[in-house]
Amino acid sequence: MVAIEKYFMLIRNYLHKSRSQTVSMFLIIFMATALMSIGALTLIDYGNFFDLKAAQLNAPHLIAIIDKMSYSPAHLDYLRSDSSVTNIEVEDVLFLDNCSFWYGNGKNTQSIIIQNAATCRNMSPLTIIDEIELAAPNALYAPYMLHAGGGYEVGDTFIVEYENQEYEFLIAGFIEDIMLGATNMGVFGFYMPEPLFVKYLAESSAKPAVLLSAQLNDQNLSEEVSNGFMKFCSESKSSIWGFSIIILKMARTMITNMVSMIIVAFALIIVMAALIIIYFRINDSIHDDIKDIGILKSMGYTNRQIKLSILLQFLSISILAGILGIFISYLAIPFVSKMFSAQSGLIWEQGFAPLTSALCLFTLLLAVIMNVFFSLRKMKNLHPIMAIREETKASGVKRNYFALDRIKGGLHFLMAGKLVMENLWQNIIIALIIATITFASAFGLVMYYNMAIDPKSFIDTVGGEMCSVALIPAANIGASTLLEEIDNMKEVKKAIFFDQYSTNIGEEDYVVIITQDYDDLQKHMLYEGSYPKTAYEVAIGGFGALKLGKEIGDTILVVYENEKVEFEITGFIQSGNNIGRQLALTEEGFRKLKPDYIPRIIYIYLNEGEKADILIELLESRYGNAIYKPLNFDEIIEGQMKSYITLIALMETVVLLITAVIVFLILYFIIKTMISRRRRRFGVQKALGYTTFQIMQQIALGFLPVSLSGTLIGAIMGCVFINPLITALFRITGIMNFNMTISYQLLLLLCLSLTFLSYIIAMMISYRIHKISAYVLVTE
Amino acid sequence: MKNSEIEKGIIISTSKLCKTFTIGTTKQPVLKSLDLNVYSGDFTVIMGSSGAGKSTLLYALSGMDKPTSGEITFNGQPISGMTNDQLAVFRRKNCGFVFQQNLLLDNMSIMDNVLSCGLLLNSSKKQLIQDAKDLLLQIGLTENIWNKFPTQVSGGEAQRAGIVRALINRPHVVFADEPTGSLNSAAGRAVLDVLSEVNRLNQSIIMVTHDLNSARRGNRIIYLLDGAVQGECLLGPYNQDDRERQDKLQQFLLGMGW
Repeated sequence: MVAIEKYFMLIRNYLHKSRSQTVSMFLIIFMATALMSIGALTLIDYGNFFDLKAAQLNAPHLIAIIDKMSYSPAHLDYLRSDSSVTNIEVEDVLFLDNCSFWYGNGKNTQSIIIQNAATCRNMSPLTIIDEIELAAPNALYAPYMLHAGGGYEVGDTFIVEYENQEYEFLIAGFIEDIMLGATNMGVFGFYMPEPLFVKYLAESSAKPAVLLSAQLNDQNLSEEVSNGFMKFCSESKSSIWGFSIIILKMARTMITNMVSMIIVAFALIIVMAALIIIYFRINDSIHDDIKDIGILKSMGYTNRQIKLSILLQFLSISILAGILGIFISYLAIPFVSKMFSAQSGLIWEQGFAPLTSALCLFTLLLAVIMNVFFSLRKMKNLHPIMAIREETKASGVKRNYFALDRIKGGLHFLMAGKLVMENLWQNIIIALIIATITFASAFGLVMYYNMAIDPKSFIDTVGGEMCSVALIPAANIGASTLLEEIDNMKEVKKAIFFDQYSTNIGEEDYVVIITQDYDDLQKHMLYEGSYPKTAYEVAIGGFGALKLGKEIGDTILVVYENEKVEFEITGFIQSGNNIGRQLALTEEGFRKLKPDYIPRIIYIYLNEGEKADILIELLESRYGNAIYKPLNFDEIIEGQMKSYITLIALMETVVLLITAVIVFLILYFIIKTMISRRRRRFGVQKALGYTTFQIMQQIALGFLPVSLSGTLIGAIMGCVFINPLITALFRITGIMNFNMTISYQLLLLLCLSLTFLSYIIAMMISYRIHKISAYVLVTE
Repeated sequence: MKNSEIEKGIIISTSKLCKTFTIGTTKQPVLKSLDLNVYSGDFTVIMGSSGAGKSTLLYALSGMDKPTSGEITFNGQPISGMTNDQLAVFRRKNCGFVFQQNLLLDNMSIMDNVLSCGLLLNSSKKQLIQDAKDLLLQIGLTENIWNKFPTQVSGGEAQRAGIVRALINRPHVVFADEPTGSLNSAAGRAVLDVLSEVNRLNQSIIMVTHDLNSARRGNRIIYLLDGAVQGECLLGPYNQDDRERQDKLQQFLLGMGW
């Protein structure tokens, strides 16, 4: 009992004596634990979130939307015959292809299906969030993403433009749906009360369709079963739209997973930085208290007792700060969840995760304990009298760097150089911390630049060949004549045929793109070799080729309906479509598979400054019913990019803010310690005639090479590693060689801004020198 | 005013100089309405009992500390109202300091310590380096220690390096605060020899000491008691063998109750 009281007395004395140090330690540990906890919760709990959500909503493993006219019991029989299929559900839906509606700040064009809210279903049963009682006859239940990403609220009006008609609805509630709840799958799913559904089925131009949902005994087989079913539908000439849960999971979680990985990586960087700061803090604190340690030793305290009391001091602060940090992390998680929801359309509700939280707390406490023991390693051999005389505070300078008589340069620069070299190891560590946080900032900045400022390269890589307007001529007009006429329009830069068909290699489906002259394309899809030029050549998706074990020069057997043709691989292409299972053939090449092939879809590229919607109006007024409604790709892409941009912008803002805080904290602790340890030195300098500003400048200039080299290393790492890193993150989507535009000017601006910021921070912190007069510094 | 004073000229003058330290709610007056003139070329020694205000006066005269009230004029320029930064510029131009302890900058070599002061004022680095070398050699610090750090040289060598640093900008006055206080007698004597030599070359020096042997080097001794000048003694130029001069000083100090 007496022993415990003794420790408490020492702790109390310490806390009382160094209130500001206690507060600063508390803040760092609090921040580190909060970030570590957010990172860990995101990594551990969000990683499993999609599968848990799919299980919770009893989601199907594959869905297919089949045109009602072409649907037959054979479709159902096909699925029933597959032994892996355990449940099948069929229901009538309304299908509105290529309709447009406002989403966020722009228009979104895509297909939607509307289900009957009254239909009984086991798979993805209707679960309504925030439902309100609406007496309106046009009530509609919308996917949650329309709220999270699109900004709609319950009770808002939702207008859908479809086939030159506007349909107005009132949002009566939001639904969470795995398969049809996101804007990036091409089909968006809504529910209607039965009376309205029946009315629309009878009166609107929406197409009647059948929604087939199936569950399997192993969801990993869903892609294989889905491919087989698509092939079957294609052979039976059914008009179909479908996908598996594997593809869907990839699409819905790709960006959020990437962002969560960035959050985790960034949290780790910050925690590492915080641990280093904690090390400095503990080390300095012990250094400053060395005299007290000597007094305690002379009084008869053993090393063990002193160590334990110091450890308890830091542990007591760490435990309190750690618990508060974890508590705050749970308050912050809903904001992270909201950020993710805008992109994934799913609600991530994070409950208390005791194991994850305990893991974070113990990791941090362990780090603090190790830090304390590491800092105290020299105490064992410290004689009390040495400690009392504070003899450990002797300068550790061994070499005369930046000798004033031999090195050219201004006095303050040379003095700053001496400061850099005096604390070389410390400065290297600070430069490395700054390099890592600069890299994280650069990563976010490059992502933001490529998504918001200059998205061309990103869209081309992810979306494949992109034009501004795509147009399909109706059967009664010659496509070639139409192409020629459009190509000659003054608004149009060029118009080409660009068709897509579904083929097979082995058991897997491959989307084949067909155009006559690949020199006319934007060429971003090709990343190795060349496009096909003859009828026997093919370019293949790199990810598909990897799976097939094929190289350039090898041959592949492509199957379309009953035709099988062998093509020689001339190059590798990539895009985010169909997980890299893509082929590129010439028109002659595709005619080997489909002899009656006639080019049909026209890709229109606009001249600089021309607008897609104006051209579409022009085309519609000129050609009327001779064409189907043209697709405004510019608008579609813009709509889809918006959710990514918001997420990335938010992430980058947070990363930059935390970077600034970390730079501030590092410099604050280092400079504060430097001033308190070198009071006498600065005092002598003042006595000799150095002004406060000159000393501040020396200190700030001393950190300039550290922050500049740190930011430059971080930016260079960014230039070298960002594209390989993003390629690695996107590889599962079929993109083999990501080539984001790296704006060197922007990275340089980032480096200079961070360096300038650190200089200003250093100047601000070292301003405390002005408070102390030369007289006090020299005579103390 | 004596003739010698007129000839030499007043370099520092104080009028009703007061300095009061406040510790908590307690106010402790250290200098009390002190009037004093210091003359150019003099080796002025300030003596007095412990707590008499010797160091406080020294640092007030040198612009290192600000008086609570009263005026200090240095070379005709009032310095009492200057800001800290103005005082810093004033010090670098006019003052050289030799402290009791080894207050060389510990992260710099002996040569750098000298240059770090000299470069604040001199634009010709080449000339400055040459001056530093000459001064170091004159003072007996040979080339082999120029690149050493303060912790690598003896206390006497460090103190002599401090004197070179104090002289490098050719200050109007060198202020020395018990310069031999932390040295053994041989090293202390060597330091005093240097100070005497530079004074012989017309360098004004103000030195605080409580050591009789150090005080002998001065030609004017000022004795402080309770923050005021109790008396002063003019001795004439230093001569080691001048017994009469030594006796005069001893008599003076005895009279002051030292």
